[in-house]
Amino acid sequence: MNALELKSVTKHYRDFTLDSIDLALPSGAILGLVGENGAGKTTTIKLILDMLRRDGGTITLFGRDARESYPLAREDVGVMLDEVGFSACLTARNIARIMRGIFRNWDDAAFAALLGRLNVPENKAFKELSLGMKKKLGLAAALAHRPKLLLLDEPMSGLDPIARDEVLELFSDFTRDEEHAILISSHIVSDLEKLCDYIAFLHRGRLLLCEEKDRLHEEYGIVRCSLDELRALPEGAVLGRRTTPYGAEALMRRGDVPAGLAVGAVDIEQLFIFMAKEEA
Amino acid sequence: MKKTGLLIKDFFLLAKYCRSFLLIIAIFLGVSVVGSQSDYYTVFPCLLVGLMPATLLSYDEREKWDVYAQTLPVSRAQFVGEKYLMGALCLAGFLVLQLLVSFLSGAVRSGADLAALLLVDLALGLLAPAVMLPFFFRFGVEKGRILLFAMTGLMTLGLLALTRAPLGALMLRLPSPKLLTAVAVPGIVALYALSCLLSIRLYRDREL
Repeated sequence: MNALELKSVTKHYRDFTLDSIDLALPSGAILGLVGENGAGKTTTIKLILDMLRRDGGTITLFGRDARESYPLAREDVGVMLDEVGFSACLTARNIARIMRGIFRNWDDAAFAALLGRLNVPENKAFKELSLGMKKKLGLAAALAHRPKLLLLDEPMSGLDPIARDEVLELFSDFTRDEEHAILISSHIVSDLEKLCDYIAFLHRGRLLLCEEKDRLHEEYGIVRCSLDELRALPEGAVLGRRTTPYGAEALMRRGDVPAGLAVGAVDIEQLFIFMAKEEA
Repeated sequence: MKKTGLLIKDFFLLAKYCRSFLLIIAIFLGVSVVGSQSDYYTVFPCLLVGLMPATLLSYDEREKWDVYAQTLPVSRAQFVGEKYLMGALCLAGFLVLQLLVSFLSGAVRSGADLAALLLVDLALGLLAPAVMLPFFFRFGVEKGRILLFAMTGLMTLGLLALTRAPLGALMLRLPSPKLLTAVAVPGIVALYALSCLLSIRLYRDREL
């Protein structure tokens, strides 16, 4: 079963449209939502959470309409938004006391263990914590009620490399359970490449692709060639291009590359940049 | 569904952010029963208590708790209802305290004194949030405050224009305090409940 499914989800603003987004996140998987700032990542997550009214489409959580199952379905969802949202005066201990009165499955022992694992102090006010500590506290709170689905908006921004590694490990542990799934948005593509099973590209409100990460590596490649060779490539086969004084690079499906041209591997970041620039 | 966590959170905030409010209320309460015959010392702390839910909501907005709360298994109706409940609890706590102090000091001598005190407090402590909160829930605290001031100003002008009378003359036309209290207070309690329903409706449609 899909933990999360979006079909033709649309949201119009005066100067921006999130245009007919289709996403499916199977249980046991991690889907990375990649996009530049303002691409629509946060809007997508807020639509899933029904914080924004969608203008079209459907969203299901564990097979049930997200709007109809709200707010009970949130018992199974852990969320961390870009801004964590705890009151500045609250300590981790206060937060545990509050959450015990909100979540049916809140687990104090699990919360304490997560705080210990992430080195978050229990008695320091939220305002006294560094940005990284705030994020880690938000993450511990998102996990301590034993959710099945995590929705994470830019969870790694502001974290130092060691903290990022700790958090990535935590996510990997979480998805060891086949019922668990994560939707994670970020513009730090290298982290998503390490972690995700599926990758979705959002660019200016449009979904450029949503594929298994391994298939992206298998399917796409970069052709390094001369400008003349670039011009000779079949129309429509070039999905992105970059020209320099020394030659050209073209993003192509491996199957579309003419014989005689060498194809190099492409990483997810390059893939996104090529595709986004071609769309611009 | 549980929502005691929302109340607990607001009690934490009350204890940590609103200490000066509580101190002012305590001082005024003390002065009202020992030192002064002026109603100002009774009325003002009650108005401060009435501002508590709006104050807590403004902290929520500033710290993005209002957005975070919508990621929790808490409906918007529960989020709004909790603020109204918090307002009522604050007022109830204040009333108990005021009655206690009044009895101990002998300021309340008869049943009529007691009823008048209770009714006036209830009316004052509920009227302000009943009027303010729907604006704040619909437009946010900052924008809502501006709209509230604008609306209050326009209503005052409209009322004066309608009666074509100066304020003093208008006050003389009001019914006796007893009658006013007997009629107005149940009305204000009903208004508080209606205001809560309106706020729920308005907040349900708001994008966060």
